[in-house]
Amino acid sequence: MNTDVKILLKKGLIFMLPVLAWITIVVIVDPFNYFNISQKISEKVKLESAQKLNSLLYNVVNFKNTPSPHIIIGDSRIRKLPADRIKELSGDDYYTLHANAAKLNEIIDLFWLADEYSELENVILGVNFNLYNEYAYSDRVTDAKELIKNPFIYIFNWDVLETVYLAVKNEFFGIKKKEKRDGKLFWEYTINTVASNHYSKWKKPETTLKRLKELSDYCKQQNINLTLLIVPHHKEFHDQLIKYDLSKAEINFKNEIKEIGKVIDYDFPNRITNCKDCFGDPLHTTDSVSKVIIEDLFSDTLSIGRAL
Amino acid sequence: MLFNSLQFLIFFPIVVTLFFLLPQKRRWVLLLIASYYFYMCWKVEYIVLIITSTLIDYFVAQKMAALKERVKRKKWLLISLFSNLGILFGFKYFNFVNANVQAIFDQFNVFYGVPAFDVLLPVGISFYTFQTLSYTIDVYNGKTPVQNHLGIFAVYVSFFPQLVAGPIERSNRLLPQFFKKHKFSYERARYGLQQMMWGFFKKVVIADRLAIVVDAVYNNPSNYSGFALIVATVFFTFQIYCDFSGYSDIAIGSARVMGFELMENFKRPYFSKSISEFWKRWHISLSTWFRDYLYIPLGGNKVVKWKWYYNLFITFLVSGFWHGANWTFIVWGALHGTYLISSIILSKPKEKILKVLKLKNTTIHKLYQVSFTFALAVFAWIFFRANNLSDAFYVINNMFSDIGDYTDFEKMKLNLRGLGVGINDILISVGLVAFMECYNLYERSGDVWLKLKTKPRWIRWGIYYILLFGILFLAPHSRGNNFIYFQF
Repeated sequence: MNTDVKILLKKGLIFMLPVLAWITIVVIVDPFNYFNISQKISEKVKLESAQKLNSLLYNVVNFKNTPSPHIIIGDSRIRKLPADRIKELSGDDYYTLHANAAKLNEIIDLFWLADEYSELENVILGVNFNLYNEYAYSDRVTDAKELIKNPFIYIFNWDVLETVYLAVKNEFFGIKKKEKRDGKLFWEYTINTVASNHYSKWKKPETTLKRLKELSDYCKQQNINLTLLIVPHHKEFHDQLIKYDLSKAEINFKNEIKEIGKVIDYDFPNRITNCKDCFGDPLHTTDSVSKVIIEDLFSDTLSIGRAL
Repeated sequence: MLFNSLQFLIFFPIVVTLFFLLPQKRRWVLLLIASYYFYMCWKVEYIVLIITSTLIDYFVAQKMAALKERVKRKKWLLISLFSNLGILFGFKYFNFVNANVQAIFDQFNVFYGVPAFDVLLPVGISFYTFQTLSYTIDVYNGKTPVQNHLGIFAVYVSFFPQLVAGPIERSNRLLPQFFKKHKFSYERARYGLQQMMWGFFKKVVIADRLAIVVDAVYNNPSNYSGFALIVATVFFTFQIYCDFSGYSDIAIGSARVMGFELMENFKRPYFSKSISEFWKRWHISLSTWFRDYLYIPLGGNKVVKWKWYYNLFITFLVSGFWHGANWTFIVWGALHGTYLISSIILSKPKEKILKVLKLKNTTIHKLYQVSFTFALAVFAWIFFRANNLSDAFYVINNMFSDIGDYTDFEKMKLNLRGLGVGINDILISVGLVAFMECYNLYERSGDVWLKLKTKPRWIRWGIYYILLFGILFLAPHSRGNNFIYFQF
């Protein structure tokens, strides 16, 4: 063999060693259970690390590994709904396929992704008005789908890199307890900044609405029991709609999704939305209230929520 | 086949290995098979178009070489021009012309029943057509000897590194290289691989990241105003540079690994001090093609003034049309033509003002020149990227709305809502563009990779790993985009 070729092969191999080392590390740590072959890192650590950095990917990969015909899809508000209590009430094992800050278009994408892996029977979609906005758009499901198809994309993904670091750190040095945030300050931030982010630029999401109708039609064809769930917000947050002149748009939203399918609404003046203690922050109910919502949702007659 | 695909990462080492294993006499066979395979990965049938162009120009050149009289040679040249441009027109421009004729007939309520031609535009058709045309024109002008080896001529037309997006090579530069015996050289292979890596970095890390914002805005511009339109337009300015110069770097680098030298296609165009300098640094192989085969034959600048301006304008108009069958490209070309003519007309008064102000060749003057040229280029790119003229005018009319909000970071963030990316992604993209421009600045004093050769190993390998891990971790792999210039 030519000397120059030998040099190239030798240096090329040495050059690629860190890449090979990285591949090995990802397969061993596997924070999202993608390969599902190594148990070196505990499930608790993986959950803590991966959920924090990319809850969508974690939930999608784990749903693919253990699919269920019953799912709840939505954002962080949906995550609050206790799956174990749902099981006690309905007898069905619901998988909470949530993504932090999920947008409505992503929730629809997640439905179709879930449909690929499972024969769905019961589906609950969290669809609040703040998601019903042309500008509330993100496209993380496409990334997750590509990543599931191609292990190289998983191995060389930035979130995976960060999560591997976090998982290894958490495994060896213990999970650091979350710093308690200033509840009052965060409350104010949500009322002012978050509401402004959601509502100051608003446009009816025609394409997403059309897609939601298609999803609903598909569920009817396939005998999938679809429920559109509007979780409660504290009235202070809800009242921001007046400030941004969107009260009418919210009424229209409810009327429009009512035409699509079964809607259970908790975001109207009721004993939860009027109670500040029922919320950790203006958008998220406390664990005990989330449990109450689930009990109401799965009871024969609604006592807090209302069917639209 | 895309350079930025796993397929190419397998294809390329196999071709290189076989290339150096084969005796020199047989290498053209491998390159021809590899090049045709490379093209057929996209659409098998369209290889017929390349073969047709190759055969026509091969035989036309043979005929012309046998004739001494220019008039007789001209007939054969016209055959080549008509057939090559005819194919190009049929596949690229027919539907555009047809739709416009239809619109005119509609204006007068006259029935016009010519249906649209339902075909996919063959990738790179404008590139290989221009490459093969340059050969027949050069043979006609006696500037290049006729090529008797059909196989090698076919490789010249279809050489895979530059087949679909250039650089558009001239026969007298590239053809002789296929006859030369190339021995494997570690130094050359390393140099080629370095350039390929930099090309990949520009394409998959910078251009593809910028594309997310650009596509979101330009595919639905009416959803945006002010800051978002400016960000998307400036991002496109760098996206197209990184996309196309990245492709050229990969092409030049991959050819270099096998021992072939392709021409430089980009030379830090956004540091140009005038539009005429910009065109000496941007897509050099195309601008020199138009200079040699259109502008100079029209008379160039050796004519009366108005004719000179006319020649310039026509050249840029055709250059715009070369890019695509859409009014947006024509306006883009016309804008550049207008820029150039205006700069000639205004050059004397400008000189006088600079003399009076004593600013000539000062740093302020140079900075102004670079910034002004950049701004003109950015403005023209709006037309290049917009899906139609009304979108382009919407962007122009609305990009400076809400300008008062630019002092409020929260409002700027809000303006970007709906793009599908966060402010952090935007900042990372800005950082990557700055990194690329730092590279370009460093390149001003000589080739970066040659300069790097003298540096200690830890610096060299450190840079390689930054690029490699950048390509692996920072590229939006799941949204891998085609190269923009493939469509031309």
